[in-house]
Amino acid sequence: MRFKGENRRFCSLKGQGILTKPVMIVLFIVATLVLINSVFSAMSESRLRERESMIRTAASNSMLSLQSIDCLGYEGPAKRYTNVLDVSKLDNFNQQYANIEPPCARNFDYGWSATVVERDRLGNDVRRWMFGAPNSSKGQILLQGVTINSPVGLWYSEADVRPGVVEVRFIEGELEKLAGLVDRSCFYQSSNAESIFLSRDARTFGNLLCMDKDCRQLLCPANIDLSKGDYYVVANYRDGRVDIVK
Amino acid sequence: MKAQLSEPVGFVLFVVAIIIFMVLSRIFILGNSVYTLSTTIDRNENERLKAASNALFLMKEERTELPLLDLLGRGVADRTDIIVLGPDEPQINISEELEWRLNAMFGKNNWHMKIPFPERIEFSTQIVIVADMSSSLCDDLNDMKKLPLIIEDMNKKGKKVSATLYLLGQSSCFYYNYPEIVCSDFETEHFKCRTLLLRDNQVCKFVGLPGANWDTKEDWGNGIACAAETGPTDGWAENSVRLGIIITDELSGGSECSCSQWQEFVCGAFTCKGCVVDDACKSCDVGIPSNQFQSVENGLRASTGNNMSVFGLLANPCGDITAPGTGFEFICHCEDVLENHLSYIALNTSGSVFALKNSSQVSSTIMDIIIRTEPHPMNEIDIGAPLPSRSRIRSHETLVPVAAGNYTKARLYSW
Repeated sequence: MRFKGENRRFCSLKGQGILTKPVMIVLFIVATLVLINSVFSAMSESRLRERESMIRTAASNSMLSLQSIDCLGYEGPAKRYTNVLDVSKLDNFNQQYANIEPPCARNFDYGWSATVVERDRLGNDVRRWMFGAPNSSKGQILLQGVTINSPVGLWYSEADVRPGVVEVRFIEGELEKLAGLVDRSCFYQSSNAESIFLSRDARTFGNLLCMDKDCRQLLCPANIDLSKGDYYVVANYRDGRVDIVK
Repeated sequence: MKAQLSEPVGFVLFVVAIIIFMVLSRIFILGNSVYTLSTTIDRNENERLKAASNALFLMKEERTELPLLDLLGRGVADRTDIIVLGPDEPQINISEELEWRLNAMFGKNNWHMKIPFPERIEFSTQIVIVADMSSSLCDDLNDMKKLPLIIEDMNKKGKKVSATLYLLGQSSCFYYNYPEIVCSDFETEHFKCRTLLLRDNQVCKFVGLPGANWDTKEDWGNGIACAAETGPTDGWAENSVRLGIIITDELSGGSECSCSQWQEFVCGAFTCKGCVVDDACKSCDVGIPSNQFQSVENGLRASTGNNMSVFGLLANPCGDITAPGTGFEFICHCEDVLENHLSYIALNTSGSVFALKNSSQVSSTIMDIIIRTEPHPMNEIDIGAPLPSRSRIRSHETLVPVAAGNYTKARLYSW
């Protein structure tokens, strides 16, 4: 025997089931999308961190190279110091490498510029040396940049070693990548190839590579004339210049 | 109905599972790259610290042209950060030399350096006090009876202070109705007392000791010399601040040179008869050379030889007992000469002279001297900003060679 009240309760529960199912399906789909998005964003974040690790490692290696006796480290008749920079070498770098990275600490995947500052007893900057590539990728063509610094001694004479700081700004950008390809071929006098994506047009003027208004010096002249886009570029060294083949 | 009720529960479980999966996947995917990045940053920071240490200890102090590492080693060996290389050489504050260079390299408030000295040494204060027991000092010695208890109290509070009182001559306090002075009035655990009859003393042998007729009962010059040579009852400790205190109101050979006639005062004690003219102590031979001055010279030589600072407590030589007409006014006449003699020995041993206004100042003045000369030994050089509690701190150690094959470590922290 069935009562009226029982029947009503059954009907209302059934109605609730009908309404709940589509909502639940939507919610399940949304939750699944959130999960997928989270996984992809984690992967993208991971790639960013890996790239940051790579540029930091490169910066750290270049910093060590800069402080070695092959670059700026003091080398006397009987003594060789790392972490103590020879002021006469610094003066030389300041002039010779005012527009390009010195080969002793060059990295062909990134560009960098360095500033060495000498400080006195009161903490005031008393001298400053700058070298490396002063112009770099900016805006859309800049991928990432890191700055690292290191305390150093500045060797004036055996009895006069003063405190200072060397700061290196490392840049990963399209301009640096393309310039690195050319410079690597030029430096090793060989051929190199790489996949390159350009967000802007790239052209050379002698040994000056420009992407819009951002220009940097190359080790030797090249014939680059590329519109924005994806390229597999081959750089061939021949007779003191680099030919680019798409 | 059961199936319908489990739908929301199922959804909640699904969401929880998704959240757990999201967290785990992020840990799995990001973990490696985060670890690699932090390792790279760590490497950068550690290289910075090594570079700073290397460069710092290769630098030389401009005036002496000596490497900071050598200067630091000397400072650690002497347990100080002030380095004196010779009498005509400039003083070098090694803490300041390190500090400005590290500020230049890291910037202020970004670093800290600690250089512990190889072993901790506890310093103590050892005092020898020389006072004569002539009647004019009875009130002063009576006040000094408070001193042993004060010193015991200081020791209870953790300070290491001990004193030995050397009493010259024989007590004659009963003339002025003061109790006789005996050593047992002063003896405590850290305060000892000895009587010193210089003429019979076999311990102290001085060059140029005054003649056989020399009055030794007030001879504080030879007295402090003997006390410096003998030391406190337990001997001089290696790492102690050594203080010599002279309490007197007369010249080391007595101030009664102007008196040629004496009359009995009471029970065998004599006062000067007709000593009324103030001759400013001219009757006393205090020049160089003289017995008076030789005694002071002996005191100075023994004090400097034993690395002891001498403080003179000039008990008022012009008080009631020495007023004109008392027969002791000759003591007052020599006040300036006495002050000069005390100053001569005090200033040449990094001490000073205190002119007491009355006898109640004896104990408190000695207390002031103890507090003023209290040693503050350095057990480490500790420079730079305090270590922050929230930042990640990195450190690097550099070996600092110290004299005699020993070494310590200079720890440099940055954040």
